Amino acid sequence: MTVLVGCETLLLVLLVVLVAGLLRSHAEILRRLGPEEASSEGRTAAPASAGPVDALSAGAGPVDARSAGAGPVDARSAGAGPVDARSAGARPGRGARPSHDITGLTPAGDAIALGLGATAPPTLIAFLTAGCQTCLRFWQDLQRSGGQLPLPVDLRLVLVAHGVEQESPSRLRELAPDHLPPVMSSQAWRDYRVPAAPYFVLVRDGRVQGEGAATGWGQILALVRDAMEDLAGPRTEGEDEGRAAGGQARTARIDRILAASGIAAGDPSLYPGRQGPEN
Amino acid sequence: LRLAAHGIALELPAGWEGRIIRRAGGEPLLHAASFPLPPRDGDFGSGATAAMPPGGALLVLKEYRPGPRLQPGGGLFAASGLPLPLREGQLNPRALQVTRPHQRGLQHFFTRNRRPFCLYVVVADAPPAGAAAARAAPTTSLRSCTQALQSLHIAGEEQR
Repeated sequence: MTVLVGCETLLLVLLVVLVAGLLRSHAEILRRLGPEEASSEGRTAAPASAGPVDALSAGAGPVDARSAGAGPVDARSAGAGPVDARSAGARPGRGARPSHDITGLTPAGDAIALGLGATAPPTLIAFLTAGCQTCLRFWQDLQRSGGQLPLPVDLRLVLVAHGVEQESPSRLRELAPDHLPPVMSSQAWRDYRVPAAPYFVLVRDGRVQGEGAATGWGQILALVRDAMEDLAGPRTEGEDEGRAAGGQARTARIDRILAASGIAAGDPSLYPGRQGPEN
Repeated sequence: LRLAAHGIALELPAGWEGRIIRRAGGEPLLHAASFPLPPRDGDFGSGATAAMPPGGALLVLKEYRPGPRLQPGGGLFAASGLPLPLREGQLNPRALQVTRPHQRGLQHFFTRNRRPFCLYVVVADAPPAGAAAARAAPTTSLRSCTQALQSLHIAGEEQR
């Protein structure tokens, strides 16, 4: 009996070691794939403190390449390897890209065409799929909210899913809220160079003002509000003081989000391409 | 931008947006505007016209279901074509479904491919910044509406 228990214990220990080794190997593969994907598009790193564009992109923090392998992030979109949010947030000049109009069918077969030029209202485009676990949380929250998401005033929310060649309309019909049918357009995913789902793009004045990933509406909407405040233009002296306080609060919030993802100050992942922070 | 669904297709002018929907148990309905459309609206765009900016334009194309008292190609729906190009003189505040200041409209019933439709157009005057601008705005809006409607394609009822 003692021998049997001993053998079972030994087998259990071996299995634990095997699983740990596999997980470590998997994480290492994903870690290497992230920078490869970024460098293959000719991206170079930039500090994540360059204003509203990065403020929104900073929301990408919690979604990391390491989670891609576990299923919550859908990387079927154009050119997508696993998404490293830090590389997504460090795309120089992407915030200055012009926006693109979006046209496509809804899961019910209706047609929608959205003009996103200079005269369009500020628009948050949420690229979601029916398959990824993180997207599922967004769909469920949308249905629960009944159209009452705390969006900033004048901000329009547009949901975009892949076209029928990649997505199931019937599944989307189940997931999407009645009040906000998604536009099914794979072209939009290509136009906005969406690396994976969920992914969010803020468009204003005919330009892409910010983009990134997030794990919940609260997070993305807070970052959008910050970005829109930053874009609001010059303030009075009193407003500047409030704005400075808001900036500090925002910085603290971003720090908390990064900390929750295990990224502390000075973390090498915050300085891709360098060995550490420059002083 | 090309808008196509339920056997109706339309090319939108630059900067416009639109949708073609079919409500449960209803017939196809097209809304197109030179300004952002509300997510949900009445058949004749009462929500959109409430938010219409000066110089804005709204196009509505509403299909009707033929029945004993609605014969395609007969009565109110006898016309087969659209009154293009649209002109200032066709606009009238009394043609509006919901009367609003500085807005004028046009209603035109017609049948195409045995499908009866109502075309409803609303344009808003420009702000009183200058008489010339105020005069030019509806003309520009009507030109855009005309351009869109000239691209209108309506398929047969079997493709609805």
